[in-house]
Amino acid sequence: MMRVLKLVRAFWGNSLALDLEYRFDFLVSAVTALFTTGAGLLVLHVMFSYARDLGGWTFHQALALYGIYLLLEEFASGFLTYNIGEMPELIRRGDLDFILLKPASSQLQVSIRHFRLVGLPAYLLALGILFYAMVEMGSLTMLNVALLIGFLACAMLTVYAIWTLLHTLAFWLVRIENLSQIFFAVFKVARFPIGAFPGPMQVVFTIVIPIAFMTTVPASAAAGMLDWRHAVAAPLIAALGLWLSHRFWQFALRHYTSASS
Amino acid sequence: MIGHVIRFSRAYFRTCFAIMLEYRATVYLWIFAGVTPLIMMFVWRHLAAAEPVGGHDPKSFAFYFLLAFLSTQCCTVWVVWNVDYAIRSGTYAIQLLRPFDPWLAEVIENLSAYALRVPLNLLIVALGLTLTGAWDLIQPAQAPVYLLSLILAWQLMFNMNYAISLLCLWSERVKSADAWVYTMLYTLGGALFPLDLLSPAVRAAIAWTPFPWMVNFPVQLLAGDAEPFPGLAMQAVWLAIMVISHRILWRLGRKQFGAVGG
Repeated sequence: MMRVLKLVRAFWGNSLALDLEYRFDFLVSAVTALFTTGAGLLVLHVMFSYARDLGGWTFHQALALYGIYLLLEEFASGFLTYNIGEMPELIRRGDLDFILLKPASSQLQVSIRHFRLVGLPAYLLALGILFYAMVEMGSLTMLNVALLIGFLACAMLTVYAIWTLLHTLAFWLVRIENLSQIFFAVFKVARFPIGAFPGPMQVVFTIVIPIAFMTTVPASAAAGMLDWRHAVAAPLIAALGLWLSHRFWQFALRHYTSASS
Repeated sequence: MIGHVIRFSRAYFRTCFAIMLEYRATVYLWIFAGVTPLIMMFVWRHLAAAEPVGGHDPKSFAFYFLLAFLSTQCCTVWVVWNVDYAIRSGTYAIQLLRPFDPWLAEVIENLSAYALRVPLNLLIVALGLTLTGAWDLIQPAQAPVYLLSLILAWQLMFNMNYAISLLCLWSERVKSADAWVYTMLYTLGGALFPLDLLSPAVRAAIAWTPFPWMVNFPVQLLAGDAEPFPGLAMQAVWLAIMVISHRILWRLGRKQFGAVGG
């Protein structure tokens, strides 16, 4: 455990130094986060000025859901992209070999190498929205916050597992940078309550691609309206995903013969 | 001189098109990255299932978002990424040595991808219009001005992004600005909700920005809900502003550009 912490400190210290090199980028990205979040809020505002509920969710419930969506979106675009998302590039350039030589879990190294400070404004905005929505709903209790944190962690681990499963394919296919584009396109659905979509789409996004679970469960925890079946399913899905992704990673490593051989 | 440019353009288009053809899977995948208007179509249609929302029934929402999707697809440019990458990797110096403005090369590269994308876009839109029975909302007589407005919208978005990309000559990472422009395009352009659902005051304020003229305006034009005159003029004025800005940036930036590694 201590070794993991040391690794994290070394990796993230490096990333921090790199990010501070590009200060203008940081400013632009803060402004971008502000506009993106504002755009999403405007959409909700326009929708609720014409409708009383969105798939059975009130404005503030939908707002909490949007906050969760923003958190997970930034987690994927600002963290996973720069870590596990680098897999195709690491394999193609042969850099993965250096990682495999180091005396620490390769999956861990690939997963936590970079931490982008650039994402900070986006996280803060998302948390702000979530906090505001919970205050307005009157659901800001210790219990709900604890549940929220727990289920948010489950959602993040599930997203991480999906990314790892997808990007481990790079061991065989190499050119798959665009897989993350598919993820983001599908994930856009998760910014609205699943009930806001027509019936057949609801089935697809709950059972076939469990996108709904990732934002719906933490958001219902924040709103204090958690469904016990979801509460049981979410940790199980996360655990199963993690186990699968780890097994798949190990399986892929056994078949890996380095870039130039 | 003109013959020179045409010869270069044709040769460069063929090269770019061959590259796009080779990476066709990627080109088509990027269409997928722009599905937001279609997702919004499902949500709004579902909202309007029982009774019309702000005068829109499900059919009208289908028409609006399918064509807004086409507008945004025609306004998808990646010149900021190209220029940013070229400057950081040093290949920009090579482009500067060519006897052609890098602007022309970027336009042709963009166009060569459209040659692949647009047929598929049209297919998606046609399929959507057929499934929702929304074909009859199109005013066929408006087709020529609609086409003109789409081309102007594309050029406006392209030149706006080109102006931003030249900021890379000063700061090496402006890629984030790209995300900003797309957020504005989708939101203020009207790809997330029809702009007529906004209050008149907000609409009037937005009309001063270039964005509604790139997404919302062509759709309304095709439906016969907008007159060609103020819209096309707004597009032309904004296009001129963007072209002048990037010409100025080009003059200033070229002087202080030092090749990376040089």
